Amino acid sequence: MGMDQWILPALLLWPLIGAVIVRLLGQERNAPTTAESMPTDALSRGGPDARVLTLGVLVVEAVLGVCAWLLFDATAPGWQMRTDLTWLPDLGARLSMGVDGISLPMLVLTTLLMPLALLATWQQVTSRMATYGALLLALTSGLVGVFVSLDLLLFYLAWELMLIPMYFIIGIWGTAGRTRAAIKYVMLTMFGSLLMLAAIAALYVMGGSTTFHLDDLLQLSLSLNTQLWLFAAFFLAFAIKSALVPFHTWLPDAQFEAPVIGAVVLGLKVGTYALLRFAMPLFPAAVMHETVRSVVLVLSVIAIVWGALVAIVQPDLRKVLSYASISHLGFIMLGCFALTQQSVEGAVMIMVNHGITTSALFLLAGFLKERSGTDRLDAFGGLARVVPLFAVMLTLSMLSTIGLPGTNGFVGEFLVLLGTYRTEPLLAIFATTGVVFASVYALRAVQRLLFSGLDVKANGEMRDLRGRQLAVMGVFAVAMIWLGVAPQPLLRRMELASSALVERVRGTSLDYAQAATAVNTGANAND
Amino acid sequence: MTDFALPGELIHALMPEITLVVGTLILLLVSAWGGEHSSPTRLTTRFALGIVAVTAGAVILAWLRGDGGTSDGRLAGDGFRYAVDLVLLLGTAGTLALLDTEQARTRAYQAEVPVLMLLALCGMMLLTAARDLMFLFIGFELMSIAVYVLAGSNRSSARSAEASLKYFLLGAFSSGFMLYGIALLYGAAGDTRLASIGATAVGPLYLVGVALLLTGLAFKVAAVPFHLWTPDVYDGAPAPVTAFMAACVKTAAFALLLRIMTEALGPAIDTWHPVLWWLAAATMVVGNIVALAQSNLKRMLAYSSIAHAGYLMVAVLAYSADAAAAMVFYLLVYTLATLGTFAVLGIVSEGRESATTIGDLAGLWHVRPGLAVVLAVCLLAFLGFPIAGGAGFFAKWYVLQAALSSSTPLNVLVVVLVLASVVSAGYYLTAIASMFNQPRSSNAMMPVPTPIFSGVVMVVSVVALLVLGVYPTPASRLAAAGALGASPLRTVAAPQPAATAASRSQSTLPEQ
Repeated sequence: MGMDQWILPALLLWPLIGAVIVRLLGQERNAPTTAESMPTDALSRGGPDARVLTLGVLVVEAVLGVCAWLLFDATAPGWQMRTDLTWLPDLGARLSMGVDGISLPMLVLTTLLMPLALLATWQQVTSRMATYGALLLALTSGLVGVFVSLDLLLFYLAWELMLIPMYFIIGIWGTAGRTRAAIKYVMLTMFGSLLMLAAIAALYVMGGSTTFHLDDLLQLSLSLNTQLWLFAAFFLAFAIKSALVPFHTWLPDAQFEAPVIGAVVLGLKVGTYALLRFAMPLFPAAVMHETVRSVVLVLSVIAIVWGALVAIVQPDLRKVLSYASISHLGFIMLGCFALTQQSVEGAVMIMVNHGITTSALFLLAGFLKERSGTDRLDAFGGLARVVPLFAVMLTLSMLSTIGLPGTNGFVGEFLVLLGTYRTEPLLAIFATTGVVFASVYALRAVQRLLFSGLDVKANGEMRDLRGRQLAVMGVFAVAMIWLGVAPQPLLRRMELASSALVERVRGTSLDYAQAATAVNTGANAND
Repeated sequence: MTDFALPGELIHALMPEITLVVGTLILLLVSAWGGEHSSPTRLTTRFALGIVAVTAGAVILAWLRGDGGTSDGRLAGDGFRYAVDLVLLLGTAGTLALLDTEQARTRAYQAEVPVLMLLALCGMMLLTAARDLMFLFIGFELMSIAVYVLAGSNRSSARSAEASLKYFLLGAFSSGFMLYGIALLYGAAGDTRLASIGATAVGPLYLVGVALLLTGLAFKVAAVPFHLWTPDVYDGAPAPVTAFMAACVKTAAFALLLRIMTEALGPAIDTWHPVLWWLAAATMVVGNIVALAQSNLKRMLAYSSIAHAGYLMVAVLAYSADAAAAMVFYLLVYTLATLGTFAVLGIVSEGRESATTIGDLAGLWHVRPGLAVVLAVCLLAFLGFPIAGGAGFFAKWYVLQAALSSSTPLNVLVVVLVLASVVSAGYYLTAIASMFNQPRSSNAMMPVPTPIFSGVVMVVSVVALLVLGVYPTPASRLAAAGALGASPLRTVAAPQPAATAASRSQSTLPEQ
């Protein structure tokens, strides 16, 4: 029983254990003096500060994540660090976990991002820290569960586990419109995920009601019609979760009302990950179906252009970022459905890089809001001279969003466009216009915030990044440039998994096409 | 009618019920002895809890002992009976504990309330055991009449009296339908035993009987369009009685529905299957959509219970041993969540004259986080949310699984169920949002401290829900034992295999 056997269960369970510890032992050290409306969670005096405790748990989790990264063997195909424990013997559900080159980067990104985000938003949430920390840890566990599950029931539970902590994080610590945004987020997500649950149940019953394991379910041979229905349910769930146009409306609301750390987590592309992991390999014939593919590809291009155009006219920085995410999501979808190895690798690259860049940008927007109470673009101007470090970080992150060569944003978008051009040249050309619009919204925001005249006097007093915030932003800056200049370690790890996926989807669907032709000819002969 | 079982066998088969009745009658005499004013009301409730515990022991003993049925097939001794009995006993114990809390604060309730609950429980247990229309009707009436009185047990409240009268009038109406249906089925089959009816050829008399019986049952389980009494009665009745109706009466009615459908109405499956299909779909959709519009919490829960009747009817429609197990599991989870919900509701609405609304919950988390968390878990369990809602998820999962793997796959109905659940998120989440996201208004009452009995009910239901939510195996094994023992489920097709097979292929029609 080596380390690679217990590392994934540890990654999944440690935050849950941590959540209980934080909730029971955590105390508030700097509770606001107006504690009447928001009393502390303190059960008793004395004990560690809840925030420090949460950070400690998250740092351990990050260390575990890095261990997983180091244990991963880029040259071995298939699942690694597999675990298979008995869970519900009557149903056949097992605690099956494993990672491959697609899930590993997302997993490590998540575990590293959480402590950084908590550290950067250290002063932004001050009430009920123990509950807040526990919810944050439960959320982390849900995210990790989504990335490591190979059992569909476990995956579904983890998928929904993300929802409730996020609901409370938005609903309790969010801004004025939080209740509406939180309910909209949960209702829309549930709409998709419950249909997916029905599809999982159908798949399970068709598989003989004995197993939920992805590998076993991949062996099923389903008719095209069944595949189309089940794929529709899965796709809807994942499209809503990842905010594909036209299911995107919840994202700007939720990211705007949520506390910054909530917005950061919402920026993680769990939906597209699940699409690559489950929906596409399970239903290859549906993915390769002519109508399905063209609809999704066209929707992706619409998302790229529409998201970027809408981002141009947003008054708030966070809204600009939300719509930029929607535009990026279009690139990811395009890469997934163009189905060449390059485009799929590019899609996973964007998922990772988007996680880094958008998180940095949302944290920066959070700093603005923390300092001046707003992030409206027209409330600022000329900040470059007042807060130079902030200005450097914002510019760098925005350039990464545009996809400037040398930043991490470039690699993914370039691969997606290159890969797509080989199969869908027309769409690739349309998608490229998205990059142009991206530079408009990004440069507009930079120009408004940093470079026009210092027209609001109060902003002259603004503090620059210091201490914790500067350190966190430094990490982000290094990551953005490093992944832009040397993406090879990342790409090498996802190579095998991406090509396996493309082969699986393209290969199997070829068999289906042949079988369908054979059946048709047979039917015609009978006539 | 000369083949009645021997008295000894009858006593043997009805041992748990006899234990309960003897205990109840003693309790009745003891509480009547002291006269109305000096009767130690709360002591009666606690004795009633003791009787429930003893009866539970008798049920478990009977289950372990094996076949407790009669040889003439009028009383079942199968796992289904005992499993549902245990759920009923759990529900009754919970409501008695809540009643204790209510009695502590008001003198409106007299000693007859716990006694009536026990009598109703006895009727329900007879229902789960009955495989004969006469036993069945006696159990049904014993339950119903006791609950009519219970609905009006708050003597100082006009709304309680109104609820009682409304329930009585509509309930008597539905009993009439049922009795007429029973008479016609007896006429068609020449026997009152379910097995004989299940072996009878389908004729016009038979079908009219089935229709009338189904109408009566639809009233009791509050299926749309026979649901209109539910919100008024749930709203008017005292909270513990509402919990009793929501948890126990519904459980008993569904056990009865399942048994009748599988044991007696197998031959007519192609007639009732489409009817029940539409009833289930309408119940899920209407229940959930109307619940969205409710601001009064008890009315909201009433419509939510209607919606749950719809989900349970999907299990009845799935018509398999798995479906029976799924139903027992669902009823257990539903009972737990109902008890937890009403335990919180009792504390929040304490001392309030008007009905408790969702707005009254505002900011509950800020003053009483424990209560808010209990209510949130129970509501999420109703919603069927995994992990946070605990076993509620697996309850829905087993129903989905049974529906999809039944011999007539209910794909469309499953989609309706799932979409109806999404709608239900609208009102459950609104209540949760009110508790957690909104500030406590300054003139809101501070909820009273949690009385010990209510606290126990809350802790037991929440812990059970959460534990079963990650590891449902113990409860699902119990439920499966409840279904496996229900051998009639397997023998349904035996009398007329050809007819049943043909009817099943016909009953796929509504799916297309």
